[in-house]
Order: sequence, then structure tokens, then C-alpha cells
Amino acid sequence: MSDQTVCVIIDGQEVRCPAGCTVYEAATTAGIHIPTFCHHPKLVPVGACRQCLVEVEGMRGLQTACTTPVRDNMVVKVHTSPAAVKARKANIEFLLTNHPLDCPVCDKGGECPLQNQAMQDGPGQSRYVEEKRHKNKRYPLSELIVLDQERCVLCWRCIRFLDEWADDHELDLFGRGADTRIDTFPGRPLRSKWQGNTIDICPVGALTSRIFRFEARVWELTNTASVCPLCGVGCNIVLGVKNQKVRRITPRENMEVNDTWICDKGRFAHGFVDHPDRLKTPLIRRNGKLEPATWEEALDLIAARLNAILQEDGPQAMAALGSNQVTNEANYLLQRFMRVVLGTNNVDHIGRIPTGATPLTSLPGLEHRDVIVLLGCDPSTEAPLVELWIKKAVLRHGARVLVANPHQIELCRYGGPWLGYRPGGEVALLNGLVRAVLDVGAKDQAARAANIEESRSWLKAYTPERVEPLCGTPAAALRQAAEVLVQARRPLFLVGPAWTKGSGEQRAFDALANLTLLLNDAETGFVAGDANAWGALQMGVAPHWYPGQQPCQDPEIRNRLSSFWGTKLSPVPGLDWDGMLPACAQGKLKGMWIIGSDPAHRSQTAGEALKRIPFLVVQDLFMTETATLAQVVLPTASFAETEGTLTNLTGRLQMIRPAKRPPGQARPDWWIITELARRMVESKRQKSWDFASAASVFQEIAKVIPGYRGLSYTTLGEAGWQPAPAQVKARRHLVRVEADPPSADPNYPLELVTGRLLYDRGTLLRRASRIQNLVPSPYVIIHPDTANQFGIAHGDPVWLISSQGQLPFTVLVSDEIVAGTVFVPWNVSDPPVGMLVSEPEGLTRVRLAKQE
Amino acid sequence: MLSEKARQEIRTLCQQYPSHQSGLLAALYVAQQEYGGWLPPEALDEVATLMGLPATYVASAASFYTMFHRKPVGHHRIEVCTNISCSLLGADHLLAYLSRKLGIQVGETTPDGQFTLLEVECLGSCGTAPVIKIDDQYYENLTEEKVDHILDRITTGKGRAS
Ligand code: SF4
Ligand code: SF4
Ligand code: FES
Ligand code: FES
Repeated sequence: MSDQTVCVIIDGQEVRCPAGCTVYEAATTAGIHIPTFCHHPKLVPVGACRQCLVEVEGMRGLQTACTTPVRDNMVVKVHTSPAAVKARKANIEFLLTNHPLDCPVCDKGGECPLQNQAMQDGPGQSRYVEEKRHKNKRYPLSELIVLDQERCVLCWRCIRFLDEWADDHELDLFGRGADTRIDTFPGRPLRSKWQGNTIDICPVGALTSRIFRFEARVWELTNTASVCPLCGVGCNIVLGVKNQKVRRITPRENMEVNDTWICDKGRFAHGFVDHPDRLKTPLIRRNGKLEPATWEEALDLIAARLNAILQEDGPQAMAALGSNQVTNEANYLLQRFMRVVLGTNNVDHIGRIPTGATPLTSLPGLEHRDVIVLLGCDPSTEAPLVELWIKKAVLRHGARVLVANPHQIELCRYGGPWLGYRPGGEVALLNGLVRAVLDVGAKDQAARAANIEESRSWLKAYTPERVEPLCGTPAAALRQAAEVLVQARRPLFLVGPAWTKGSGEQRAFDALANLTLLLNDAETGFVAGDANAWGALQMGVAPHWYPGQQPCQDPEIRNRLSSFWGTKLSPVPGLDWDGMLPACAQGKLKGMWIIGSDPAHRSQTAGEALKRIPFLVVQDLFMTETATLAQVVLPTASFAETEGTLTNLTGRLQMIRPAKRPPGQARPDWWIITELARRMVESKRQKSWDFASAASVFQEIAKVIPGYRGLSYTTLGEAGWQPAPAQVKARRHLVRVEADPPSADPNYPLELVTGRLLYDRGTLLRRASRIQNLVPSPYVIIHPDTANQFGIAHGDPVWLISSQGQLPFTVLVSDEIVAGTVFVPWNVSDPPVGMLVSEPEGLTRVRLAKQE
Repeated sequence: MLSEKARQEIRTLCQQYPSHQSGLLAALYVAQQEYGGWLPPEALDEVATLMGLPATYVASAASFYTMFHRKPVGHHRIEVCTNISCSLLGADHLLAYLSRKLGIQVGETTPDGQFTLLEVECLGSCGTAPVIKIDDQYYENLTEEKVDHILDRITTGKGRAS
């Protein structure tokens, strides 16, 4: 489309529109309705259904408005052409001759374009009296979607969506003529993680959700605009509720986040919200057993116990964990409580974003990156919508996707190269790339580093051939990647949480900065997998940071916040999670409050340590492993039942809104923290804890965090608020970062790599029916060399053994993993693979043994 | 599994067109011959992998043409044209007659595995309607008697009858 505009006359009305747009688009801008079936604004037009016929002066016959480009001074008749009106009416009549007209039992009824357009543009009556054509009616395409081939109008929207956006060609037309049907490859269910979107765009009730099936008529639903809490993208969604139960989730368009799409996890996994396992009353441990109690009892008990600890052991004997899954408001109040009421900086959360990481600046901006480098990051499972934007860059603009990951991920399908590496080899890999880029790119690249001459000497050790034994990445792949990087106009490096584990935050980022320094217009963005990872950090749920990432060690800031909060903030440095563990084990921590996280499930060390805490309070949706260790368990409201904000992986603040009441006595986090604080502060200071809603908490947040000044729920609105991208100081110098020698341990010769699957058996998804049928049984992927070494074959049952314990798995032998590593998905086995991991979590080494 | 010869043939076909897609029908034909006259899902998968096309796309293309069979077929395939000209000249009766005679419905194969009865679109021989095609041979201007005669010759091993 060019910048030029043209003028067309539609039904006598002059319409200005961009040259190159279609008659349909021109009519739509002028508010003139043309019925359509196959046309969809997000898909390439095909002109398959003939519903949009219009008359164009000077052209023979009727034209399909959706495929006809406008010309200057074109005269179009939509509703003023009797021939066109008649043709469109006839088309509807034809479509309906074989349509089953089972609207009374069709889930699409009430929001069905066929229904609506039959009323608006159709003849109102059928003359067809013969037997209708029969095809498959209740035809499951997968665990999630059912197809009614009789309702299908063969518009290809579903096929085209899967082709043009998801690049999953899993649906197509089968057969011919009157017998044409939508179907999958014989006997193979749909596998795309984007399939749910075809339900939304199907213009009839042919594709419907198996989870929403017969749950409600759509007009009975109360719809609430919210945000998906299942990954860091924060897709905008609508919760459809009937009788206090979430019946379905559909996407809401936000061009800065999710366009109009959501992944199937976000759409179909809401079953946990209304699951009978939800905690419904506070629980107090009496005679060793957790028993139901009232809020009064529970909160009074906590207040009394915390006061007692404060008296006897002082503020440093208490700690709290917030969460990168709960709202900003909850996180903010938790750290405020710890710092102001108890007087300690012992507050942190698990999975904290590594120091040095910066948020991705824009999701739609991904489309215009010509090279995307994934470093220890698998968007397809960790942040699915990011994958969709990457696919857009690949499919529409030919972007390259380089993948550095110990095992092959889905996005390797675009040719990589795949840079397989052993965890701990991150720095070696990057140094190898720096060196290869300098070798390939010669002068241009070298000129970007001010200290290039001095740097050459230490980089000598990192030729691709020397790097290969250090990290396991083939030299040829490194060279190939370097060629791509040197050519890149706007490369983007996406860093995942796994990237900094092996080599440490500072070194991993320094080595990366060396590489980006040499390239054109390179940007680095961290892909946070959890819904509120940036938020938890930003709210100050970290021992060294007040809200807004203001350093606790800065006396000026401490004084300012002291007077704002009306207390004297403690200068004593707080414990982070890694520090809390030994403190628990040594009996130094007497009380702990954990909100929205389950450390005992993640590692055995954590579980053991938490058992040593005399007074543990856990606040969550379900009876988690950590909750079973607690003295008091508090039931909290889920994302569908509370108001608040989440900060997505671009730093965007977005609102979740209550769509229903929480079950039983469950209460929002902000209410619980406020109530507890009011019990603990003296009466004259009660006013500082008079939050009456999440909105009032946010008002205070907007005052405390410098960048948030002036924000309120009203300004966030439906679309959210995007902060200006952080200014990253451009470096001019290469920093010397030396790689670690590969670690070796004859008892445990293999490196354990863990990663997320899209669908797992975690706390939430375990309670989402149907989704569970998509979770594989526990497996470990090993390299053929490893299989030989241990005398193990594909499909063998094995024990995976670490210094912490052993777990049974089935072996998959594959060369899609780097030799010397094994891959196990998180949250699939029971007991969890965390049993093998020791905290603080760095690398875990393992060995294999065949099960007898 | 396709033989190496068939695989090679398909690879060569791919080279003959600017896009692999264009060689698909010919490739499916090769595969069908290898798989005894029909295309089981494995065959479709193999062709898809060889040609770098999505398997669903290959299956869809195969389903469009009556020349590709997605179920096992008999030794002989009787394809009855029921398009306009043939219909006007009694193709429906002919089809019903064949169905009675063989004791099977359209799309089915006789229990002895000899004949599969199929209904197809215009065979491009409208001038001599009604027309049927058995294997690679056209039989024209048909009547029930002629059909009897033709089938007799085939079953008694006397081969083609003109
Ligand atoms: S299933 Fe729906 S979207 Fe797909 S072709 Fe049929 S009517 Fe169109
Ligand atoms: S991509 Fe993430 S935020 Fe979006 S729907 Fe899926 S899980 Fe939810
Ligand atoms: S909407 Fe134009 S042909 Fe279908
Ligand atoms: S209609 Fe039968 S051959 Fe053409």
C-alpha cells in the first residue's frame, strides 16, 4: 500500500482511502456494511465465498469487494445495485441450503456472522425442501476443538490463520465439490498451540471449543476485560463468566501486545480458577494438623506470633517471599509490610530477573528485526505470543532465527543455525561468536570497539575450534552464525532465564554486550516467563531494592522513603532467597511469609530448609507442597477474582479485573496484608494502612515509583500503559570475560538441563482438565553418545541420579541435544525434577542408570 | 517404505519444477504404484518429507483426485463416470447394475479382492457416453450386456475386451 490516497464513490458517497486498498476496506472505512465470510482483516484475501459481491461501474459482472483493489474515481454500488443485493441474498440462501440450522444447540449462536448476516442480508426463507447433505458432525480435531463439518462454509479462514500466522499447516480442504470438508491429516489431531484462535475467526459454529462446549449461551456471559496471568506476555483477554464460574477466555485486541490472538494455554487452562481444590478458608495448625479457622483467628494468631518473634529475636529473624505471579499491589504491600511493620529487608522472590537484564522494548517491534537470536530462551513454551511475533518476522520479512540452546527448540525449524551448548559454556560461546564476527566482518566490526587492539590478544583463545571443546558448540555453526550476524541490520538478542544460570549474571551479560557492541543497531531484551516478573522486581520485592529499583543502600533514598512511610527504615542489608536458605537451616529465621510461590516443590534443599522454620505462613490458591509445611495457610483470590496490575515482559502495566467472587472465604492479597498490618501497628499509625481497595494501593505505588507518577487505574484503562524504553548506555569497549573450563565430575558426568513445556503438571495446569491429556509422561532426552556410553536405548526406563536423589524417567535418544547434557521438562514428573536440584540453583550434574 | 528407486524418482521430479509443489501429483502417482495402488497415510507422510511439503497439504491434494486412492483397492478398479453426458445416457443405471452384479457399494471392494467400484467425474469421453474406465482402459457406449461381457473377459483372464 502506498501513501497516495484515491477517491472512490460508494453508494453515492465519496470515500478517500489509500491507493491499493480493497473495495471492502474502503467501504468499511466509510461505515458501509458489506457481508463477508472468507474475508478477515488479519488474513490475506482469497475471494472464496462470493458473499461480498458488489457492482463496479465499467466492470463486467459483479466483483468480490474483498479482493478488488480500488482505483481513483471508481464507482461502486453495494446497496444501490439491485443485482448485487440479489446476488448476495442468493449466496446466503445457497449457503443455508445445506446448513444444518442447529442454532439452538450451537455454541456460536448469538455471535455468529452467518446468523447475523442471514438476518441482515439474506432472504429470510429457504426454498430448499430436499434432504440436506451430511458430513461429520461431532468430529474432534484435537483434545481442545471439535468440528462440525455440516456447519462449515468452507471459507478457509481456519486454514489460512494456521498458515499465515502460526505456520502450522495442520488443516486443509479434503475431497472435492459438494463433498469438500475441512480436516486434518488422517488420524492426526491438531497440535498447533494456536488452534484456539480458529474458533474465534470461524464465521460459523463449525469450530467450537471442547472446554466451553454447552457451558453457556454467549448472551448469558458476563464479560470482563482482563489480562492472561500464565506467562510474561500478558495477552489481553476477556473472561466470560456465568453463575460465578469462568466459562471461557477469548482474546481482546491490543496491537502492542497480542494483536488479536492468544495461545491455547491462556485460552483453555482456566479450569484451575473454579477447581474444587481451591483453598476456601484460612487453616491453622492445631495438634500437628491444619484445620479450618476464621480470618480473625488466623490473622490474630499471625500478628501475635510475629510480635513475639520481633520481641525475642528481632526483625532480622523474619523473611518473606513475594512472587512474580501475583499482582504489583500484593508485592508492593508485602515489601512495605516487611520493611515498615517488621523493619527488615529480608524480602525476595524466586526467579528474580537477573541483574543487568533489560525488558524487551516492544512486541510488535519484533516483526521488524531481521535477525533474532534466542539465548537460552524458548519463546514457544515460555512466552508463546513472542513466538507468534517472531514467526511474523520470519514469514513476512524473511528474518533469521539463531538459536543458542542446549537442545533443539521449536524455533530451530527456520534453519538456525542451532548453537547447541553445554550449560556453563555461555561465555565461551559468546566469546567464540565475538571472535568469529571479527574474523568474518573484518574492519567494520572491529571499528566499533575502541579497545579492539588490546582485546585481540585475549580473544586469541576463542577461535571457533578452541571454543568447541569448551561449550560443545560446533565450530562450523559458530562461523555460520557469525556470517548472519555480520550481515544483520537490526539484530535482536532475546535472553531467557536459563542463560545466566551457568555463568553468572554479570559475566553472561558482559560477554553478550561485547558481541552486541560489534553489530549494527543490536538490541537485547529479557524474555520473562512469568506474568509479573518485572513487576515483582519493580515493586521492591528484593532485599537490595526499594520500589522502582531504588537502592536500599542509598541513605538519601532511605530517608525519603522513611518519611514517606512514616517510619525509620532499617539500613541492615536483607537476605536474598539464596541467603534465606542457609539462614533457615541454621535456625536463624523464626518466621516466614510466602505468597504465591512453592519453593518446596522446586527443590529438595528448599523443602528441607523450610521445615526448620518455626512459624511459616503460606498464602496461595491451593494446598501446595510448601503450604503443607506451614503453620498458617491463607486462601487468596485468583487473577479472575481480584483487581490489580501486572507488568509484562516489555514493562507494560496492565490491569486485571474481578470477573467473579473468590470461592468461600478466600480474599485478595492486598486485603490480607492490609488487615495483618492493621493488627500489628499501634493505633495512631493505623491511618497509614487504610487501603480500601487495590486502586488505593496503586495510588501509593504511583507516588513511590518515580517513573509511575500520575498513573492511576483510570489512566491504565483497557489497553495498559507502556513506559518509555530504558536508556541503555552504549558501551564502546570490549570487556575481558574469560570462559570457565568445562566442569567435570566422574560420578556425575552429565549436565542436567531443565525447561518448560507449554502444558505441564504445575500447580495451576494440573487443575485444567483436557490440558492434562496433552502433557507427555515423564521423559529424559539424551544424546546418542550418552546412550552408547551408558548402554541405554530409546524407550528404556532409567534412573536419573544427582547428589540429591534419583528419579525414574523414560529415555528418548535424540541428536537434537548437545552431547554431555540431558534434558528433562519441568513440572511433568511426580515427584518433580526439582528433587534432583540443589539450591542455590546453579548447575546440576547427573548420571544415568538403567532400571532393573 | 518407498523403495530407493521411487525415492530417487520423486527427488528428480522435485528438480523439474521451480517449486516442489508442482511435482506433487506425479510424486503421489509414483508412491501409489509402490504401495499397491493406494496411498496409506505413511505414503503421504513419506512423500511430504521427501518433498519438504506439509503432510496435511499432501493428504489434501491426494484427496482431491479420484485417481488417488486413500483406501486399499482391488486388483481392478472400475471407474464409472457419472458426470452430465454419461448421466443423461444412463450412467446411474449402469452404476447400480455394477453394484448389484458385484454385490458391493460404490467405494467398496469385492471380498475376493478383484474389483473396486468407483464413481468418477468426467472422463473426457462424453461423445461415447456412458463411459467406464477399468484400470487404464476406456470402455465406451456401454450397455448392461457389454458390461457383462467385459467383466467376463476380465475374470476369465482373457484380458481386455474392446
Ligand atoms: S471450519 Fe469455519 S473457518 Fe474453517 S473453513 Fe469452515 S467455516 Fe471457515
Ligand atoms: S502467550 Fe502467555 S499471556 Fe498470552 S495467552 Fe499464552 S500464556 Fe497467556
Ligand atoms: S468475503 Fe469476499 S469472497 Fe468471501
Ligand atoms: S460426462 Fe462422462 S465422460 Fe464426460
